[in-house]
Parts: sequence; structure tokens; C-alpha cells
Amino acid sequence: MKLRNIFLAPTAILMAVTMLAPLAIIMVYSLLTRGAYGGVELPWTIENFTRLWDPVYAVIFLRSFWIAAVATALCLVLGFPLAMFIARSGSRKNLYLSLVILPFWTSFLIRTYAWMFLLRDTGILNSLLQALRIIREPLSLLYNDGAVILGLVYGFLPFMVLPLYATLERLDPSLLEAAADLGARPRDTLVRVTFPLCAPGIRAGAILVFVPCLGTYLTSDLLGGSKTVMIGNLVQNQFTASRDWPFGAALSLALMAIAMVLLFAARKRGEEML
Amino acid sequence: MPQQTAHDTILELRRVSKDFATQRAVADVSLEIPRGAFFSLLGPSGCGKTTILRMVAGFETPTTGEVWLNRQRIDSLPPYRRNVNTVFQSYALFPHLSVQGNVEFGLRHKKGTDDIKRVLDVLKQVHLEAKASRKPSELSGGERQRVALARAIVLEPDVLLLDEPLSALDPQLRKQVRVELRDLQRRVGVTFLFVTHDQEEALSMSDQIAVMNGGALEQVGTPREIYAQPRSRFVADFLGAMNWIDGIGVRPEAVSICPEGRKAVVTGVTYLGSFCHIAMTLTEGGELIAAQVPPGSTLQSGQTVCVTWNSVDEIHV
Amino acid sequence: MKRGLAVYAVFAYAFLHVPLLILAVFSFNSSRFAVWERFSLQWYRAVAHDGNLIESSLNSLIIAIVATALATIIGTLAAYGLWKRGSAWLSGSMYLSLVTPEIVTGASLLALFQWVFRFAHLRLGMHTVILAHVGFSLAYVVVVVLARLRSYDRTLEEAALDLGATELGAFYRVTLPYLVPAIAAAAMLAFTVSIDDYVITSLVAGVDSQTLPMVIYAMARRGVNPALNAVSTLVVFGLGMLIMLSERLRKT
Repeated sequence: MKLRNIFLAPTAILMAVTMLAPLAIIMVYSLLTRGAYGGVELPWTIENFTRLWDPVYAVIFLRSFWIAAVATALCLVLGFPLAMFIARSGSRKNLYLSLVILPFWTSFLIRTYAWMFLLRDTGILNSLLQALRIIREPLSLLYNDGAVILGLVYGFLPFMVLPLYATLERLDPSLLEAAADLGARPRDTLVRVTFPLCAPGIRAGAILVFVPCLGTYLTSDLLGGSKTVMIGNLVQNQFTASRDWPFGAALSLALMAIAMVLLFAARKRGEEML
Repeated sequence: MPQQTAHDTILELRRVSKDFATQRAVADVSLEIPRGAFFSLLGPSGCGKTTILRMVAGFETPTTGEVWLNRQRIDSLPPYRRNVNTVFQSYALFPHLSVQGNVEFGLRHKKGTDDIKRVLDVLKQVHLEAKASRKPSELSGGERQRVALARAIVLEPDVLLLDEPLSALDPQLRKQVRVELRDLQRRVGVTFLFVTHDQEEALSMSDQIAVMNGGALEQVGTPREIYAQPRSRFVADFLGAMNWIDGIGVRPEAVSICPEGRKAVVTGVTYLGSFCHIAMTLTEGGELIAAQVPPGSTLQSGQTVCVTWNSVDEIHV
Repeated sequence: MKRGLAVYAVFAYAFLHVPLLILAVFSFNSSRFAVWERFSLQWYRAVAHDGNLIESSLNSLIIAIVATALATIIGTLAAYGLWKRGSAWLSGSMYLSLVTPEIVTGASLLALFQWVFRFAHLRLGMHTVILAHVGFSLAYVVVVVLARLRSYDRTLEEAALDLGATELGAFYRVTLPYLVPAIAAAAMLAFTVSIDDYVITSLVAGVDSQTLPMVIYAMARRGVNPALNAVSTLVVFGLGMLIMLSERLRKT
């Protein structure tokens, strides 16, 4: 056997076991009926997929899309100037860049908890505002869509900044000089030259933020509570409390299908995500 | 008369210096560039010529000194408020815009119009009207260079700044483009400030040349003056090969081999097609001397010959 | 504009880093409410005496170390194999594993395990957690090592073969040393994603394999608890030290 094949064998087995086999099981389960005590039973049915159109669930899908879209837009708006600042900071680039990447290395769970600590009714923000006598009753900052969006932006901002920085860094400075030379003011240069040339980075960043936000579970669970349910929470619920595995499987496949369509659309435009 | 000069000068640098963090790129340069001239800044890389160009364009601000354009001081204006335009070394064509989009860009921003007729006129002048809708990536090197030119001249700048615009072209094309560029300059009548490190380019195209070295001006003059009467050893050497004998310069093409004269030993013969390059060592003094002789020469290494030259060809610096 | 950007950047960096700083500061507060009283280490003492926290930390460490070692070795070999010649279905499944939402990965693994347990006499536990962790961190390792191989000069290996090395010898003595920095970076990445994971772990863990993130999650759901601030501070500090250490090693 060739060395290459020997080297690839463990990964092939592992991928088959941890990725493809579970996917196959999910596909089969999604077409079966929920068992009386959890689990799955015959007969075959497509009812789990038709249930996705039920308004109760459609609303959750739409809300997830909305929250992920707003979080992505905010990441873009907040991330672009930051990426620009880093790209233009000369020899300190690496320092500023690592300050953006640093949160990557600290626990996502703990960073989400930090916002719970800040936003709770008895959290630091409310305590501060009450101590300053700006408010008398605590504001409900936690457990709403806004808190989830905030948590997502906080968690995924680096995913937006990195690709934006990479394209800005590669941008030929003489193109910006040419724009100024041809009479464009800094704002015109930004709109007519920098933005269009950064389109690949913007697309990559948007996909890198939107796809995980859409499938998020932890952020909406901790910061959204029972009020902001997203697709991820719905999936988790089917596999645990509701014990409706076939529907959970159908939801999972729907979520994956959406993610794949988005990624495929982005790749079709010639960008390499990996 | 000073007044006359002021009238004819379109661009003037007054005692301009530029310091970067670790070095002085331009040191106390004063220049007057006549209206309508093809003016070249010639020098080795790092001599400050590009920095001068960038200060005129507005990408750099002089540390000290003044830049005047059309009797208006411009050294603190941003690039978009100066009536000069640049042809970049890399051309800096916007990759997301078509040829036409590139040419329109400046019209829209600098002049506030998008006069399609002018765009097409200029594209016709550079023979690109058929490729108006192409993207820069679909053009050849020569075509890109012409788009960069068209994009700048459509704005009718007071001075067109060209930063080594031929260096990205292959050598064959370069010679042809020299002629085209010179013709274009005559036709549109715009003042050209042309930066190059290639002395042949500067000599063949310019009305006037300023030779620079180490951030300072060495000499300003017509191509003939610069070549035939260099004022410094640097200028003499930079403009072409030069023999130095007893402190006097003689160009190899002025050296002839004849029955009488100074004795020299041939050390190398290189056949170059249209002529033979002969390297020699003077028997007296031991200086190296080079000559150009007809290609049919039968001289060989080791042979002793006599060399001579006309005293009018001597260059004293 | 330059100045405006700099001012903005200060706010952006504050947004990224101040929440954790506040969290850390209040871990030293003697009050259990979000009002500063005085400096105290009582919450750290509480953490030190919490058997649940200690046990789950040990579990997390064991899982992360074993999973990282396995994923790094297997992933490095795979990256080399893929560099020799690509494999559409392997790259495809790894791509899939990178983009699948965690909750879907966890749920589908749980479904697989439950199905297997119908035939085999097994239960959820450390082994299922480790298998899951190796599975999801493998793709990260391959991506990082493959990126380094992309800039590797194939002729170096050919030269080794030309000089008489076997294929395996060329890999071991020429290619592998070149890959060391990437392998270290990949291991760091695998370790951090493993030790941090809650979503997948919580679905495939058994009663005896509670991990630290699972305990942290449960504490967070229960309410404000300065002991949790103390744990968080320790984790962030620990990971920070680990990164600094690995940077040091990388530079020497």
C-alpha cells in the first residue's frame, strides 16, 4: 500500500465514523416516526419535513435569519473601520491584529457568561445605573433579541475583521492614490474604490459570521433565555426534552441545507473559504 | 528677464526638501519646468526623483520648500485639488472598472461631468476605442499603459506626471512606445514630467533633463548638453560609458585605433553585432580604456595598439 | 480620518476586552452582588473546595490532552497525504465538519451512539466525548498543517529521495521538521477548541464525564455566582499562559 493511503486511512475512518455515519443516521431518522418512548419507529414518512412549514416553526426560522442578518450587518459596520485601522497601522499591525484574535483563544462560553454578568437585572450595568440614580428599577437587558445579537457580535466580530483585514492589506496603495489623483475625495475613494475592491473580503466575512450565527445554540440559550428561541435551540430541544428525534433530525438537515446553499453560493463566485 | 521666466514656467519647485524617518530623500531642490515641455527627471533608483513626483502629485508633503503650479502654491493641497495627474509605474488601473469606467472616473470626480464623447475621443487617441468595455485584466501590458495615459490626459492636467511608465513593458515594445509617447505629448501639448532611470529613454524623448543623485540635482539641461557637457563625473558616467584618462573624460565611441598615439594592450574583444567593443589597458599609466570599432575588426587580446581621440571630444568636469 | 479611526479602534478594543476584565475584577469582590465592597479571595477558596469543579476540570484536561494528541497525529498524517494528492470526499467531509453547526454535530453523534449501543454493551462516557472531540478538531489540524505544506518546496523531498531516503524517511527527516511550527499551532488550536466545547460535549457526555464547560454552563444558568467569575478568571488566565508559552517556544 502506498504511504499516502496509509497516512489517510485513520482520518478516513474517523471522518466516516464521526461525520458521515451520524449524517446518514440523521437522514434515515428524519424519514421515520417518533417512537412512543422517544427513539424512532416505522413507518416511513415525510411528515417531519412538512412540519417545518408550520407557522410555529417558520417563525423561529425567520427570527433566526433576522438575528443572524442583523448580527452580520453589525459585525460588518463595526469591523470594517477596525480592519482599516489595523491595515494602516504600519509596524504595529501584528500587535493590533493579535488583540483582535486573542478572544479566539479564550473560552466562548466564558465570554458569553461575561455578558450575562454585565446585563443581568442585578448585573453590573443595572447596579451602576441604579447607584448613579439614573434608573430606579432595573432594566431588562438580558433575555431578549438584543442581548442575543450583542453576544453574537461580540463572539464573531473577529471572523469579520480577519478577512476584511486580509483584503485591505493586499489592496495596492497606488490604487487609492490614483483615485485621489483623479479627483476623488477620501469618502468617494472609500465608496467607489475601497469597498468594491474589498467585496471578496466582505463576502467571506459575511459568510463566516452569518452561517455560525444562524446555527447558534449557546448564545441564544444563555442570553436569549426562553424568549429568544432560534433554530439551534429548537434542535437541541427535540433531542433532549421533547424526545422527538425524527423532527430534530429534519430540523438539523434543514439547517445544514441552508448553510450549504449559502456556502456554495459564496464559493461559486470564486472565493476559496478554506 | 525674470518676469518672462515666471510666465513660461508652469511648475516650480523652490528649495524643496523631504525627510523620511531615517534619511533625506530630497535635498534642497529648485526646478523650473517650462510650459509644454517634455521634462525628465533622470537618476539611479533611490535618488529622490520619485519623491519629487509624489510631492507634485500631492502624495507626499515637502518637509521644507514650496511647490508652485501655474503661479499658485500647491504644496499643502490634497491630491484631488491639484490640476496634475499621474501615470503610475504599476498603472494602478481600477480592476473592478472597465476601460471606460477607469477613464470616466476622474471626469466624474474632478470635473463633475461624465462627458462620454470626451472619453471616447481620448480612447480613440490611444487607439483603444474598440476595447472600452474590457476590464484591465483582459488587456495587454501596452494597452494597460495606454489606458493609464488616457485616464490622466482626459482631465487636461497642467502637468502630467509619469512614474517610469515604460518599465513594466518588454524591451521590444518599450522603444516603440517611446516614439508614441513623444508624439502624443506634442499632439496634446500637455507638460510632461517624466521620471526614469534609463538614460536612453531620457535622451531620446526629453526637451530637458534634470539629473539627480542622492536627493540633489546634479545638472539641468537639454539632452545634448547633458551628454556632451556633463558638469560632474556622476552625470558623465550615468549618461553612458566613459573613459577617464588623466582626469579627462572620453566616450568610447570617440576613441579610435590608429597607427600613432598612446600605446595600449588589448585585454578583451566583445563582438556586439553593429560594432566591436575593445577593452584595453594603457601601457603608460595603466588606466583602462574602452573603444568601439567596426564589427569587422581583427584585433585580438594581447595585441598592442595605439589609441587616439579628438580634443573636441574631451570632457572636462 | 486617521485620527477618527484610532479613536474608534480604542472603543472597539474596549468592547472586545473590557467585559472579561470586569468579570475578573469582580472575582476579587467580597460581596456576592455586582457592587464593589472590598478585595477578597473568598471565591477562589470556594472554587478550591468545590469537588465538582475540580473533578470536571480534571476530566476536561484529560479529554483535551488525549483528543489533541490523537487529532494532531492523525491530522498531520492526513494533511501530508492530501498534499501528495487530494481526495475530494475526504476534503469534502472535513469541510462539512467545519461548517456544520455544533448543535447538529452533537445531536447526530448522539443519535449514532444511541444506535450503536442497541447492539453493543456500551454507555456514554469519556470515550464518546474523546471520539467526538477528535472528530471535530481533526479538520482544524488538517487546515493548519496543509496551509504550511502549501509553501513547502516539493523538490526538498525529491532531493531526499534522490539521496537515497525511503519515502517514509524523507517524510520523517525532511518534511516533518519543516512542519513543526504548524503542528504546534494546530495542537494549540485543537486543545483550545476541545477544552472550550460545551455544545457537543453536553450531548455525548455520560454521568461520569462531566467537563468544566458543562459545570460552568450549569452555574451560569443558576444565577449570579462570584465563584463562577473566579473559575472564569482562572480559565482565561490559564489559557493565556498556555498561549504565551507556546509563542515563546515558537520563537526559540
